[in-house]
Amino acid sequence: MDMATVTLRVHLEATGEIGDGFVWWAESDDEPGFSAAADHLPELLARARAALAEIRGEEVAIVTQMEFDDAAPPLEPDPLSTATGPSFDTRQKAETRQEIDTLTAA
Amino acid sequence: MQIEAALLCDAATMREGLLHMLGGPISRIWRPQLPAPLGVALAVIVGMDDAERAEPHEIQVTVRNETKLLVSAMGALQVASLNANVEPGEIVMAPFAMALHSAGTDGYGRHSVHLSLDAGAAEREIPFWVLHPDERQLPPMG
Repeated sequence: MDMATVTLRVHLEATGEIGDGFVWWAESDDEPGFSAAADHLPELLARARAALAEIRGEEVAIVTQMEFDDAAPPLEPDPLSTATGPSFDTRQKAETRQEIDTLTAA
Repeated sequence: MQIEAALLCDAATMREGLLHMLGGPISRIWRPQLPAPLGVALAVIVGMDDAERAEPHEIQVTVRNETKLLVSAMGALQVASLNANVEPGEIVMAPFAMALHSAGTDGYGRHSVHLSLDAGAAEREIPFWVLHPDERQLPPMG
C-alpha cells in the first residue's frame, strides 16, 4: 500500500539556563498549520507520525530535514578521500557555563 | 544502534564520513590554575543497521565535574544520502566529532563525559581527571 510522504522540518532550541535542556519541534510545508514538540527526537518523530496519520486519515512516511539555523554548517566534501559507506550530517547546539565562555574568549 | 567507540582527544574532525583524530585517548588534563578550558574534543563512532539509517538520531552530550554541570549539548546525526553504497546487512560506521575545547572547569578531580543516543537507547560514560601538574610525579620506587 502506498503511503503519503510528508517532509518534516525539525528544529532544536535550547531552553533557559544551562541544564534546563532543549526542545525539539517540527513543522511541515506539506501540512500547513501542523507542529509538534518534544524533549527528545525519537519522541518527536513518533508524535509527529501519529498526529499526521490522524490528520491525513492514513499512515504517513516521514522525511526529515534538519533546520539548525545557527549550528555549524555541514562539512564540505573532499574529493581526495572516500568514505566506506554513506556520508552523515551532524548538527549540534551546546550550552556551556557563561563564566567559562568569557574566560576562554579573553 | 551501538556506540562502537567514544573517546577524548586533542582534536577530531569529520570529512566525507571519515573521522580524523589526533592525540587520544585522553584521561588526564593537567592545569596549573583554575578555572581553565578543557581543551579536548570528543570523537565517537556509532554503528547503524538498515532500519536505523532511515531516521535521524538524537545525540546528547553532558560534561560534569564533581559538583556541577559544565556542558550540555544536543544534536542530531542523519544519513546524508539514502542512495549510499551499502551492502546488505552491513552495519555502517557513523563517526562524529564534538569540540569541547572552549568548555571549562573550575575544579580538580574526576570529571565525566556522558554520551546518550536517542534518549538513552545507547549510552557511554567517559571518565577523565583534571589534575595539577604537581601531581604528575611518579611515586617513589620500591
